Parts: sequence; structure tokens; C-alpha cells
Amino acid sequence: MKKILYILIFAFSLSNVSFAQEDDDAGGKLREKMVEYIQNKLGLSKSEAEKFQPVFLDYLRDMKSTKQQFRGDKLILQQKIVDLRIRYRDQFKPIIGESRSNAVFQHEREFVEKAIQERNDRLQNRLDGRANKKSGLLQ
Amino acid sequence: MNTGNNIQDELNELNSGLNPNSNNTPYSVPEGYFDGLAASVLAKVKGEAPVSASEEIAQLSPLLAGISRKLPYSVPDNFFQSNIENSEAFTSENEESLVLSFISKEMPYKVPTGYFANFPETVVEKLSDRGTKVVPMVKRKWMRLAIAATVTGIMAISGFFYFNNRGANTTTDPVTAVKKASTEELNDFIKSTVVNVTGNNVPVTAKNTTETKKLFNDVSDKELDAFLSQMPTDNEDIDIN
Repeated sequence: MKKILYILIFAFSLSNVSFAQEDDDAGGKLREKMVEYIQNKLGLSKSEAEKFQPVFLDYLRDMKSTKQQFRGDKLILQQKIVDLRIRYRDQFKPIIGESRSNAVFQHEREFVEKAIQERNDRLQNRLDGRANKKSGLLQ
Repeated sequence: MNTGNNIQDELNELNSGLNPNSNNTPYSVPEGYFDGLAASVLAKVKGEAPVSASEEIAQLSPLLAGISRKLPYSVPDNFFQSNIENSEAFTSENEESLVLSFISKEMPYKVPTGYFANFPETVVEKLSDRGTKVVPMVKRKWMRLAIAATVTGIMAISGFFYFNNRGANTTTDPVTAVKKASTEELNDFIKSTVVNVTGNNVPVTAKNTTETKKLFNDVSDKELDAFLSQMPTDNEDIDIN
């Protein structure tokens, strides 16, 4: 009995560890897609893109931690996001110039809105699928 | 030409500190050593003049011969004899040892009378009497009651919140609330709130949707949710356009 209990605890902790590892890298693919999207929108050259990419990925990492840290206070969170963007805009300027450094955040928002749109579409499709199933069963 | 002289000359030219007379051997044989050598060896072989060990050592090594032959440590007189007498209990020839005589000869364990004779019957009897053993998950009655009470409590509380929220959702549904609100209330709300009426959101067109679909084609729902949770939402983000 005790052995089974230990095995269960061990398996449970292992699954937790694997979930934690998955969570660490969650959204990684979309972060890369976002970088690619912004680079295309800004029309960066190869050398510009090579310099821009690591800085932008750092920005996204900082954005994630800022959001986690100040989740409780919306106003502070907004302020911190603005601070973060100003700080990173200064880092983007020497790589891609001033005007394009400002445009980075507009394209970032565009991408997020597209992602939201995609998620909403998927949810809607799922709901429609369920409704169709139900109506099919009733008939 | 003598090579020894050459070396000597060369060493002299170089002002070397090495001995120029290196041809001379540094050791010498005592005088008349070889004269009597053959006779003395033959005498030793033939044993004509028997030599004692001490004399031989004295001849070979005067140092060894000079060392005293007395042992630096000594055993007291009758040391072993007295020890044997003192430990008579262990060395007695009598079979009855003094040590063993202190130990009781009674067996500490006993087998009940007729134990082995009736053993099979008792085992069979016990096995037939015994039904399937019931192992309770929780031995104590109060613990069972506590678990039942906890489960009931959790179900009641979660049920309460679930149904309460459902009720609340129906009453505070924003769409219903807006529909129910009067024009005056809506105007007041619009005046008191900063509303983005410029329509900066990306308009949903057919091309846009296709592009979006293509963009997120290989992205799972889980990844999409995780990514969006890391990015600022509409409420958290300020208008930068």
C-alpha cells in the first residue's frame, strides 16, 4: 500500500516537473512568429534583422515577467509596460532608426490582435460544432 | 701520441678545476696484501686454522663486532608461569569451565506439549475459520465521518458558487445590461469614460482572415493561450497608434 502511494507521489511530481518545463517555453513558437512578422512589416535587411531579433526577444521576455509581477495593479502595469517600451525603443533606435523603432510596438499590437482574432474564431468554431452536433442528435 | 696528455693539456688551457692527474687511481692496496693472499685463502678452505664466528666478524667488520649482544628489553623472571597460575579458570584441564558454570542450563524457550503433533490440525482449523479479511481504508470511525463531512462541504460550497455565478452572469451580462440601459445612461457613461472611437482595431476583411489563418496555421490552442497570457491585453495596453 505504501509502495503504491510512493509511486503515485513520484509520478505526480514528475508530471508537475514536465508541465513546469512546458510552461517555461510556452508561447515560444509564437514569439518567433511575432519577430518574423514585425521584421517583414518593417522591411528590415538581413543584418538589421540579425541585430534586432535578440533585443526584441529580450523585450518579450521582460514583458512576460512585468505582466506576471504587476498583474494585481492595472495602472502600475500600464506604467511599467510604457517604461519597458521606452527603454527598448532606445535600444532599437541604433539598429533600425527612430521612426521604425516607434512602429515596432504598433506591429506588435497588430500581431496580438490577430492572435486574439484567431483564438476567438477557434472558440466560435468549436461552439458552432457543438451546436450542430446537438441539433443533429435532436433530429 | 698520448691521449691522456692531450686531455691534460686541454684541461690546463681551460683552467678547469678537474683533477689533471686522473690517471692515478684514488684507491690503494695495503702493502704485502697479495703476498700472503693465496696462502691465507687456501688455509681457510682447508680449515686448517678453524676460525670462530666472532673472530670472522671481527675480521670482516670491526664495527659489528664492537656492538653489544645484550637485548635492550627483558622479560621478568617467571613471567609466563605466574600468568598461567593466575588464569586457572581458562586453562584448567577440567572440562567444566568456570565461565560456563555461571550460565544457566535451563532453556529459555519452550514448546507447548503436543504442539507439533497437533500442528496440521490447528493450521487447517484456523484457515477454515477465517473468512476473507476486510482491511478498512480508514480504521477510525470519526475519521470516516470527517472525510464524508469534508467532501460534502466541498461539494456544497462549490455548488453554491457555481450556481451563484451562473445567476450573476445572467444578470450582469454586459450585452444584456447595455440593451436594458436607457439612452441617457449610455450617454452619461460615454461622457465619463475615455472611449477609443477612432477604430484602431484591425478591420476584419477576407484577406486579413486568410492571412491570420495562415499565420497561426501550425499553432495549437494551448500555445496561443500561453502567448496571449504573456502579452498585454486591450485593457492593460495603452493606445500607441
